[in-house]
Amino acid sequence: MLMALLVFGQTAVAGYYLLWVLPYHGGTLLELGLIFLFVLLYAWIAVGFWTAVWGLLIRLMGGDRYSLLKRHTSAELEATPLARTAIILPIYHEPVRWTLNGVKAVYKDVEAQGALDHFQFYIISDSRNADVWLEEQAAWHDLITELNAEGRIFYRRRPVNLNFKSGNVADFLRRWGRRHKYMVVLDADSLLSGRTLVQMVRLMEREPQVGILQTNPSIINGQSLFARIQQFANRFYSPLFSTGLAAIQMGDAAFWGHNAILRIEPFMKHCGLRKLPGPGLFNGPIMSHDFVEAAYMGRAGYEIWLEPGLGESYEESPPTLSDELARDNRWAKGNLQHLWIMLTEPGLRFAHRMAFLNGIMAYSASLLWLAFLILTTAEAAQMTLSPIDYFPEGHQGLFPLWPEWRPEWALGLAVSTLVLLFLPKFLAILDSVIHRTTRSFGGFFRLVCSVMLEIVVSVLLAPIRMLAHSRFVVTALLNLSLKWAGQNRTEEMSWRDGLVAQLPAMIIASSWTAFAWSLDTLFFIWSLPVALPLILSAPTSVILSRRALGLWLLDKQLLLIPEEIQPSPLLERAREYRLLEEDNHRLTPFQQAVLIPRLNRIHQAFARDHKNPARRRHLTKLKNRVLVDGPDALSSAELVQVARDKNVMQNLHNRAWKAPADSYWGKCIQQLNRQVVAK
Amino acid sequence: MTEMAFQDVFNRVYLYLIASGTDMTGERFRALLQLIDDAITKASREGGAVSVLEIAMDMVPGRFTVPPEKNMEVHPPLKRGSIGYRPVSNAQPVVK
Repeated sequence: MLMALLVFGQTAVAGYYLLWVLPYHGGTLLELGLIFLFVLLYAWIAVGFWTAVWGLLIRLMGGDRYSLLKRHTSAELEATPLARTAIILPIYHEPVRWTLNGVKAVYKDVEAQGALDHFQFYIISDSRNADVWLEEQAAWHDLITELNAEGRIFYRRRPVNLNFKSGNVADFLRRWGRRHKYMVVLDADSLLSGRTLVQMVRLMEREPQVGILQTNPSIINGQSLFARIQQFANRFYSPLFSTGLAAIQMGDAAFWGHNAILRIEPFMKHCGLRKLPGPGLFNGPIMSHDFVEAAYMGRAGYEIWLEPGLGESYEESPPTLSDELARDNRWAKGNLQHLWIMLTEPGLRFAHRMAFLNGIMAYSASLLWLAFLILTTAEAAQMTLSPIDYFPEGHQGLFPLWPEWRPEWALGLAVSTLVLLFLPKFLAILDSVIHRTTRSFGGFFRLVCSVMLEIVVSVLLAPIRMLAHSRFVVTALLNLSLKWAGQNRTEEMSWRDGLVAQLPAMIIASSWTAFAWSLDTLFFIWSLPVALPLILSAPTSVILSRRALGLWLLDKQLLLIPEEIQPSPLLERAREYRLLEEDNHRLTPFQQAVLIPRLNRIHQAFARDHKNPARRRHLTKLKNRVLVDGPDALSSAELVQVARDKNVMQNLHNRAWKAPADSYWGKCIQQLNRQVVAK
Repeated sequence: MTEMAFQDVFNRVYLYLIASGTDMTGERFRALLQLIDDAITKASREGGAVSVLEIAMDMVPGRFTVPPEKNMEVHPPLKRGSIGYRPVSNAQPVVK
């Protein structure tokens, strides 16, 4: 209630100021539109501001006394027995060895806690490309051999990819849900320490009304400048925001899809996702499943908590702006779909409907901002190019409407907006000073420099994101098709790619600012904070993608986070395992699966023995084509059929090794020979 | 049979054994040479109907013991749970 009062009260005051800043004081339709958009955007920013302020106050008071962790002493939690918990890792075309090395780090950390008997790991793959999932199978086999983890780490690839990630998890639950009381969901880039996992299970055992317990993941392993900026911003600002958010939401928090623990029984009973029955975007499987599952869990009477006090929870940032925007494209569509659920689904708690609105606004706000800029331009053009209209459209009085100018009020309004946007960052510095954590961010001076650098970059990125998100929202509402693809976590952006990606934004911004210049000098200056970053968007996105620059700043101890100064054992393990393993085999995973005897036997164990005569004839034809011309002779789907048949894989293995030297497989064998000799 | 073809067969079988994880001791080298010799003899007897390479590769499993690969449990047995779910441990009452 207090939050609503603060946000709406402040917004009302700002709206009033704008009313009197505008020349006709809202007397025209154009100005009414401007005020409407401004009020929405201002309220949106005010929510974030007051969340951060509330978070600071709570931290100053020693933490949220209603949080789950505060309800139990350490001794109580230590005495709580563990329950059978599944740790599931849904993957889709991720870098295989890198991902499984993360699993290995988590596994070893759980082992160090002495808690392995209570956890089982499930790598559940939706990968379609045969080379990828063959590599997954081989890597899984290597992992359990190395760790002696048979019966503790499992692998399943789903042959039919229904309903994206939520369908993958649902498939896991249908097969093995009853084996476990809880499940912890990890993404491919997620890490959760053994200590935190154990603590999460114990909290769930102590709090039977909790359906989902969400940690607040910190971003780590940022190497490119872009990733390091995101990492720093997340790590430095999120304690304030997450504390405030957790205190406001309490048992009506959201589920973010990963780095969380879920109570399986109510999840299976109440959180099944049906396809949406509406038109266009609102038809088909739900893409962003996490918010919906939390809402359904809340509807069933369970609580969903965000617990920022559960540390050692990590994820990674996309390495470049393009990768982030590709991810945002998916999320925008998924969040906009929630509009249907927010408006039509019965029985949902108000807080969860607001969570949907929050997610929708996360991307729609960009479109509103763009609309605001367009209307402002129209207003400026009208004031400059048209004679003063004393009886504008919409004005119904008998007396003329005199346009008035109040530049000092406009300045005040602009300053208040900037305060809302940037003061939380300085509150975070204050919080760090009070809690004596500045040293873990490189010391006070470097911390301030890091914050300034982050502000500069965020100002450069904001208009770029605005334009991109606006496009995503429009294409989502028009229901243009979307492919769900794995994220790029490693590559830099070339100048060519940067230019191609950002050229439209650069052209739009240049045209707009040239038009602004032709209208009015003041308006031109006003447009620069938005136009300049857009004009510079190509070099910005390329430079931000550079690892060398990010690592140079790390060397100067800028944008430092505590995990880089004193990494936890989990992070050290993950880094060590990922550095050691470099897969640069000359053969593709399919070629290795055919040729290398050990791998061939492993893949035969995964494959099935298809006995249907028609199928056998079909597979024989495919096998013969592969024998002569290699896997490229088949389509992706055909290659999958081949790799899934035990007899074909065995036969291919036997025949390939007998192939003449100048044949396809003879040449592959020569490559294998060079690999073996090089070792 | 040409000397070059003999070299190819030897290389092929040798590579297969290395790729299989076989530790090539002196004794195993002699066994490999014997295998090639036997393959050549058999190919001559059959009048070249089957290549020396094919005969040699077919002989490998009978002459060399490849390190076995243990069949691992890929996933646990299915435990259908979508209907009539009951948790493995003592059921907790549903809190409303």
